[in-house]
Amino acid sequence: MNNQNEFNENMTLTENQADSLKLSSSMETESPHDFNRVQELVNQLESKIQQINSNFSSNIMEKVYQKSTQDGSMKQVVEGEVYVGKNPTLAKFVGNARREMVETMKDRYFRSTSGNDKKEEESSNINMAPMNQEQLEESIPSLELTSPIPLKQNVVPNSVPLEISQPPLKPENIFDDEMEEEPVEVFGTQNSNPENLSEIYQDRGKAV
Amino acid sequence: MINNSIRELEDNETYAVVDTIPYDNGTYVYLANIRDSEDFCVRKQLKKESETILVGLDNRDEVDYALQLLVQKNLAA
Repeated sequence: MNNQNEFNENMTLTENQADSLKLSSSMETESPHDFNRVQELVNQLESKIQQINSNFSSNIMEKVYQKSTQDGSMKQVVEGEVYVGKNPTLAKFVGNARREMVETMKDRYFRSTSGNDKKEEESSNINMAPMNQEQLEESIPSLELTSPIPLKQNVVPNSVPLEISQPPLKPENIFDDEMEEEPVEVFGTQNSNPENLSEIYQDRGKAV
Repeated sequence: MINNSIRELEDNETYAVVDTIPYDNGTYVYLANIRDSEDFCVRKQLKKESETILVGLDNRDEVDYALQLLVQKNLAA
């Protein structure tokens, strides 16, 4: 209830700020000075709203933490099992309350609700779930090494030791006899002389 | 007759069971105050011998984990 009041007060503040924003925007907004002032007010409003939202959310969370964590007085004996209400009136309340809870928590646990970000967060959240010993063993069967393998047996049988049959190439050996350097025809230098161009095209035409 | 879809907790407020999600050791029970739905909490239902009890969670991390399960379940639905 206090949260609600605080929220309402803060919202009133933001409405006042919105009024001042309207006033300033109704004034001469064409000058750069007024535009900067409006921009400044918008920025202030945005930061205020963000602050209100985060305070509101953290207040709710604080209460949830306090009301949910272990305390001797919280122990209750249940006859039978608890269940979600099926009574129409209760069911409607339950549906709305569940939606509210999820909406409140969604932003906390899923920062982005669109595209790949959400999927990545979902998968990372799933990984956060504690696993028992059985689940761990099932998920990583390759690590079930009950008896360590001696190092010598780890060598691949019949493996041939690597031999270097040829000495490594030195810079002067890179262009050996088999690899003759072909002269590179650079178009646009000596051959680009307009007098030579016709000859070049004729030669190429014969070759084709 | 006992109505286990609503519970009165230690603050003498009546809470409706909003959802239940089973986990390794029991079931998480999500409760919302029927007079103020923003007032909600999580408990866990455990079976000890012949007795079923509703207790608080161990710490904040467990609350986070339980709430994540709720969000995942309901966003997937």
